[in-house]
Amino acid sequence: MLDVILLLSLGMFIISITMSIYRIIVGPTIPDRMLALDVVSYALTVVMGIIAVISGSPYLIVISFSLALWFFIGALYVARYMEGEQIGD
Amino acid sequence: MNGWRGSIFGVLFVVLMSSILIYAFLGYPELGFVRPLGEFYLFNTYNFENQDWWSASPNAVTGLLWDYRGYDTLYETMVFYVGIAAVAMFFEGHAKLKKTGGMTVIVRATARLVFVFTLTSAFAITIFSIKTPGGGFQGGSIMAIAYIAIIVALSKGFLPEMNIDLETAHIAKIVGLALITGLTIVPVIYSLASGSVAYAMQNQPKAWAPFGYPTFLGLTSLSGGLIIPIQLGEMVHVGMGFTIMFLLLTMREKED
Amino acid sequence: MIEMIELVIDLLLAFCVVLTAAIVYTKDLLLAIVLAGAEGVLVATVFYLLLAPDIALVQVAAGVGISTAFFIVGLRKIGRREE
Repeated sequence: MLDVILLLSLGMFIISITMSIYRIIVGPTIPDRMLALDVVSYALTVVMGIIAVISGSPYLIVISFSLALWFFIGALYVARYMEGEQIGD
Repeated sequence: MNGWRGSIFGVLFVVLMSSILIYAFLGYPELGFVRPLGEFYLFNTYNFENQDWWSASPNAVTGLLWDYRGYDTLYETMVFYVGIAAVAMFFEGHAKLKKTGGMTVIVRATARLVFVFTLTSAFAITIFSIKTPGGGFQGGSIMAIAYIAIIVALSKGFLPEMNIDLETAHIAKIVGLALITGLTIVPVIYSLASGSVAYAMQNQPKAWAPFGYPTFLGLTSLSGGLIIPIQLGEMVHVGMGFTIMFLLLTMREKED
Repeated sequence: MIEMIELVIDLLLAFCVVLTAAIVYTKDLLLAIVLAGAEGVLVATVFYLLLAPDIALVQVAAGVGISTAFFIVGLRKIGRREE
């Protein structure tokens, strides 16, 4: 039962990642792509957690924390650039 | 180089590079040749029965760091040190750490929270690297990301409030490198003083070289010898190095 | 399960090829940096699925987080459009 649910949610997240990557490649403006990249990162975080649960190994979940924390900062860089200010002021 | 000449050059380049790569892979020994090496590491790095070669660390990737490929890490760290020194030479003088507004209030508050979380995860990845995947370089990179987030979201002027300055960052970096180098030399000094055999970069005792760092932390949990101080030194070194580089690169070229 | 993970790896690598082509052909350097970040995240996932979590940590932290920051700082100095 739990395995079926985990596999189903894994498939749904992979579909959502695929659609977001379409938005990254096609999306007309930079903020669109940045938002889509945000969605991809968080979905990948969840996918990593699901795979760690399926494979029953806690060592596989370490990276998902740093991936989730990183992306806030990635959006920050681009926002700071598009504001047109000097970075670091 | 315009039009078809550029395309011909590109095609020639791709054909040349791929033929070189195919030649290299054809000359590569077959898979069975590499396998005994992996079996050696699997058999020896974490083997309670045969403690002649073991590294006393459940995470064999990190355990290899000290007894097996310690010089690799030491010289990687020194290359990094020289790189930072070169960047600092190009941008001589000091970056002005002026405190300005930064971004909006929401972003600033969130950046403070994310800073704390990121720094915590950096320390966790470094300290628990004897059990879970990770290590000094990974932790240091994540620590640098925490400080870069503060620089981007708040401003450079907030770093002196957290006691991070160009001077203190340089000093912390040098202390990290000195920790690694000093712990490397300790077995040699021991062997010179006591007249027995010990190697540089020795962590666990061998049958013919009795020097060894403590194996167990407390009574039961394996400590991997001195893996944790080495990783902490490398974390401080790498994290402070990236922070200094970012500070120097965001300097204004002219005061305006 | 193994077949499914192999399928996911193939899918991610195909996306990486498309993203690389887009990075090469775009004239907007900020867009190139964003796409490179996306590709780095996907490559980190491939490393993770190949059971190398420590390499994936380096890829996420240094290859995506820090190099994106440095590229954007450099972009401020050289301008956004490529002629």
